[in-house]
Amino acid sequence: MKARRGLLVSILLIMIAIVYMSPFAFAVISSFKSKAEILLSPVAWPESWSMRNYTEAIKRSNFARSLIYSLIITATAVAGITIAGATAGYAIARSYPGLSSVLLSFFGMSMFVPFQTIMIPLLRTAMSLRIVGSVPGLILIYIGLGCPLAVFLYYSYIRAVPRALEESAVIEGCTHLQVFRHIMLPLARPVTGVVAVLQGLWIWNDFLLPYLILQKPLTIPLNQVYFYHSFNRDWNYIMAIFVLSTAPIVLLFLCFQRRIISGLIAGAVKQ
Amino acid sequence: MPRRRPRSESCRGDYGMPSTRTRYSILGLALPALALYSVFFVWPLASGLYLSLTDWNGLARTYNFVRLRNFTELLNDSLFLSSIGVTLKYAAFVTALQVALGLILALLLSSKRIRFRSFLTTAFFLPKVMSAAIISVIWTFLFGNAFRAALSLIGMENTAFSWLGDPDQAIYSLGIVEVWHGLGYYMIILLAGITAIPSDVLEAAEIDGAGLWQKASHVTLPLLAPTIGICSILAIANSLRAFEIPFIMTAGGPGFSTTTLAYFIYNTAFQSKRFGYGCAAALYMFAGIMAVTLAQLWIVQRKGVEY
Repeated sequence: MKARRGLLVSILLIMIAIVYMSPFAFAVISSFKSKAEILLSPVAWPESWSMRNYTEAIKRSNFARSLIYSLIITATAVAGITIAGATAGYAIARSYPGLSSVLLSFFGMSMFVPFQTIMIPLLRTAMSLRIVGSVPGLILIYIGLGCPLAVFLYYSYIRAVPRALEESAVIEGCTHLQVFRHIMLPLARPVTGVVAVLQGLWIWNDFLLPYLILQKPLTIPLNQVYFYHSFNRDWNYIMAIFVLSTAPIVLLFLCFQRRIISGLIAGAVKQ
Repeated sequence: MPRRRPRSESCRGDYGMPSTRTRYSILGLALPALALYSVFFVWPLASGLYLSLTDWNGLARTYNFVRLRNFTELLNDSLFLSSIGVTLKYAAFVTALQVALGLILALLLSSKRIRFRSFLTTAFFLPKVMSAAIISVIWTFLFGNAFRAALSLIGMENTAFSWLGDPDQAIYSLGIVEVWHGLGYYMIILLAGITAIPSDVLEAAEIDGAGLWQKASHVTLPLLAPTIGICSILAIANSLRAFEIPFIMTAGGPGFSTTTLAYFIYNTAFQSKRFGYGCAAALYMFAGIMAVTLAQLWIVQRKGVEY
């Protein structure tokens, strides 16, 4: 009786899950249809499975460029956040407790402030630094905005590590930077995973900041939205771009699901 | 569910006392983070405070100091006030649905007899890893064309109903997209909270003859209260910042019925070129989000349950 109820609930949940994922299925199926088919019979199988929408959409939208830029921006910014956040987290964990708490609350300010609050003056700062339209500029902004969370995560991890380990290294003549590189960073690898997942997803998916700073459809989300605005009747191409835009992150998620989910949740609960 | 912080340095002596010089010089390592954070966060925040007292238009080199006029004008700006109302409606709708549906799914998934659990978690979590901007594009089409066609297939066509075109309905349609996007996230947090409940408590209830419903309402839910609290805080803080979905799907319309606070700030600065005024509105938003978050944290901590 109980086993049967479990099976029934499982079947019910699977049906709900299928409905839940139907927007993806819908987009994938539509991406093979012609424009007329999509508009006249949105809920039907395509007449023929041709890749024409994909080849055409890739040509029209500069998808390859946006993929490369998204990869470069995300990878560089995450590396920067990791290095800046880990060094600062280590330094704060090993400094005077009074000084540490001052620095922590200095970084902690950012947790309460919505992006819109700094958006307008940040653009002004970017204009005066002449980094509007610059990819390296965007990356630096990401590091500045993304490092507080990393600082916190590394700080609370490293604080629990006994000092004895580094002290012997210092006696042997290591500098702080060497201790950090050869002892702390390898030790804090779990934190690095969490930081990479949290900040990587944020930057990969972010829309407003690159929209304001780059002012050109260089990243994947920007490319999708620009394409939608400039070809907004050509739903066949939009669907193809949607499938291409979401494919990298979906594949990554399916491969590293456990790690991604636990990383996202660790970050949420820490905040 | 908050992870215990590591014990404070009460036993620091065990590791030997580092020298004073070491403790200062090590701060050099914090400089890159401090510098970038100061330039791209602290400085903009401070200059935003200052700009909110001016009538800067975003381009001119000069501007006038208008003191608190922006702040008082906002309180009489019907568009600003309506954007607050829109945002609150959206946040209430989204938070209630995300937490309630997330809880139901988590309770169902926590049952030992559920099969295909990993498939189910993947399915519900998947939208979360995607960009809100990208999924907004697909949902525009779903609301505009696909739903009507799907409904007409099963003979339920109602041409008078417009998901995104009706000023009373549109904000809730956007809310559905947000719920779809984030639901799996709250489901997982709640599921982790349920799994953390000691099984002996549930077994004891079972021995005492508690049924499925009684176990949920008398054991699981009270013990889960702090986790539900955390989820509500996250959901409300997140939905109060809504920008991408209304920006892409409805451009704040029809009328201004989906102009959220974040979108109002964007429009004020980049459409109306009133940067100082926008900065003032952004500070109201900051105060609002901070107040809500602090109030909720306070409530959750007071009601915290230990087990």
